[in-house]
Amino acid sequence: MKAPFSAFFIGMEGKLSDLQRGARTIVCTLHAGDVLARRLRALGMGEGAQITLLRVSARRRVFYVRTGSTVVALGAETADMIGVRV
Amino acid sequence: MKIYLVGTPNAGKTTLFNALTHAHARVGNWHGVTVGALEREGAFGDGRAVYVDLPGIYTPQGSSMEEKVTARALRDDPHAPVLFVAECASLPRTLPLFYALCRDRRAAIVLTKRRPFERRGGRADIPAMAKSLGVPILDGESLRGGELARAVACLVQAAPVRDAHTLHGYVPAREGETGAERLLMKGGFALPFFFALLAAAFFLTFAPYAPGDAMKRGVEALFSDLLAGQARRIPSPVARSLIADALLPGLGTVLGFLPQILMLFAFLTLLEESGLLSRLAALTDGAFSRIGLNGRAVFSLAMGFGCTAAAILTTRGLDDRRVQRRTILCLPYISCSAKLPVYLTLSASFFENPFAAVCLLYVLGIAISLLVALLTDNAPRAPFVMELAPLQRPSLQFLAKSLLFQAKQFIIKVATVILAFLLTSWLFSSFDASFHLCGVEESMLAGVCRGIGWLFAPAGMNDWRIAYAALSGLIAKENVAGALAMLCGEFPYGAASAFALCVFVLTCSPCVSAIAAAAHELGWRRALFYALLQTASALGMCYLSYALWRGGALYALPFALPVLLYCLMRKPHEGIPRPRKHHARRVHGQHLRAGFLLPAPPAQGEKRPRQRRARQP
Repeated sequence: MKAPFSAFFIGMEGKLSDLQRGARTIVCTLHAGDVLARRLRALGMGEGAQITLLRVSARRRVFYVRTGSTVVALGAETADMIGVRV
Repeated sequence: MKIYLVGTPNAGKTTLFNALTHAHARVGNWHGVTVGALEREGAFGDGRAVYVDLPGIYTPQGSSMEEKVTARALRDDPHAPVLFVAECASLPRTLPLFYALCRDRRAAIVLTKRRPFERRGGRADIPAMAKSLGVPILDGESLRGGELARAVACLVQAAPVRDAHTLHGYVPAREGETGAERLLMKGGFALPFFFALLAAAFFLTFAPYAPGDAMKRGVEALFSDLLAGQARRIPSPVARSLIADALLPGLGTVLGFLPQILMLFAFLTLLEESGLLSRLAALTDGAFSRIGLNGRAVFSLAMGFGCTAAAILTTRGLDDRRVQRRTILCLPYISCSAKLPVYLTLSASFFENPFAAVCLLYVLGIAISLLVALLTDNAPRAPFVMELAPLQRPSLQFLAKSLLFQAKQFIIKVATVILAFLLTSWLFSSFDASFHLCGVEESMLAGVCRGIGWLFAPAGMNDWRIAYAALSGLIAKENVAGALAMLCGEFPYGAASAFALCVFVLTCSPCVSAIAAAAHELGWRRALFYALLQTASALGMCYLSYALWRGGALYALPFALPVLLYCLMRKPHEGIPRPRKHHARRVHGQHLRAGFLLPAPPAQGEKRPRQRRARQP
């Protein structure tokens, strides 16, 4: 499997909530408290995880993200806390 | 020996628990069904052991009340063996949790949902996986009955779990969503779809001559025509009074609604089992966040249509204690199945079509519930994260078993609580202080309850029988319908009073079971305070409804204006400033054109979207 082109650009981080539907990216950092960060890692959205933004609700309040075999729904505040490679 | 069943939510722990112990614990296709530890003895090899089904957990340091229950149970019994239940598809992700929970314990992994995993191209070579991890692995789907109990006995020989190992013999399933899953993520389709489902469920249950109504008429005919006719031939006046005037009208009224209650439960079960409920929770999170709840509260509110007490218990899955308290405060306004007999008994007085009346009351209850959430919203809520349950076709066998269980529970309740209430009411309403048979107005009950007749006077019902029937709903809501049928026969007041009484039942404190469940979560002081507040406000709502019906919308102004002013002047929570949609598109487009992002491959059947050219400076 080809490595994503973006893998060569280290340090360019954005927020998951800034991405558009269909974007595939890698989680860089979790700017969340301990409890939430552990929950996100347990759901497969820890640092280095490859995720796909499947869909965003009309008012960008709910973000549907696929990580491996799991689909997770995130509120807008949570999506703002997930730093991804852009 | 105690054996703990642990794993992530919706992995299949309770299904395994039911298989090992022949129990009938509640299962459902959403995260958070099991809210407390369940213990039961079951077969273990050739002997017996106590199995403990624990709520699902994501991390040992989880913040929700359910996760704390599990973490505490494992901490208090550090050497007990564990069966770690994991879905095939998410095994690699849950292995860290396995090692965190099962270190230094004898443990085995039980794999579930293997068939859907293999249908999506996944492969699990169980012997190879067991060898690579160094722990026994069982296939939870292929083992049944005695085979399962013998297989689980491998725990006796299992070595304590030590270091983490790399998993071999596992091929992950293909990623991708089905067409139905993609459709249900689109708000434009999913919300109308859910409304249509709800409308269909209500129509089939309540519309005249629909299946629910037809079955109800059948049961009523059995009680009123067949059995009542026989009862009138009983020679003894006391026995005739008991059976023909109390038991048959009272029990017949309540039991007559059993088919419609079961139809509502069938709809709820289908919603749970199919995985639609978790999608509804995700869809509504945005709207719920504006009133201080989150999408996860949808589970509890949906369960409230079945039973308020059970719904209160499901609030343990909420991470935020404040959201839990607010949800518990809103739940009594969701019309549970026990209120249905009351609505249908009274609705004939104010609506020719019971379907319209019931719909109005359900919608009113939901609106009041959301208004209460809005008025009590005083703090930012916890961030929303929720794993979506997979969509699956509900099993008819499971549905049938679930409905049989609900019918059994309902009949037991009628045969115990409601029967006891009706017998007591008949005794006190048929005899005077000297224990001579007499009319209702001369009875002991009239003597005691005449003092509360004024309670419903502002609603046009200065009648102790109505007050007694309404307040009997605090024991069980079905008692209201039974007591009205026994003491009044046909409802003796007009449409406005009937509607006002329905509103009182809708907004009153829930029954004692629900108050006890609330006390378990919030403490007795808060639970009783909520109950008193709800009962007092229910009386106010009853009077207001009567005034509105009789006098028009003008009466609503003194009450609606303060609420409207509060909503307008309320400071919304300071959300995290988020860029608008076009900013997100611009950021995404710039990076795409610069080559920092690979364009996502189009989903199956979709065309690749055209990319705009970069603007020239």
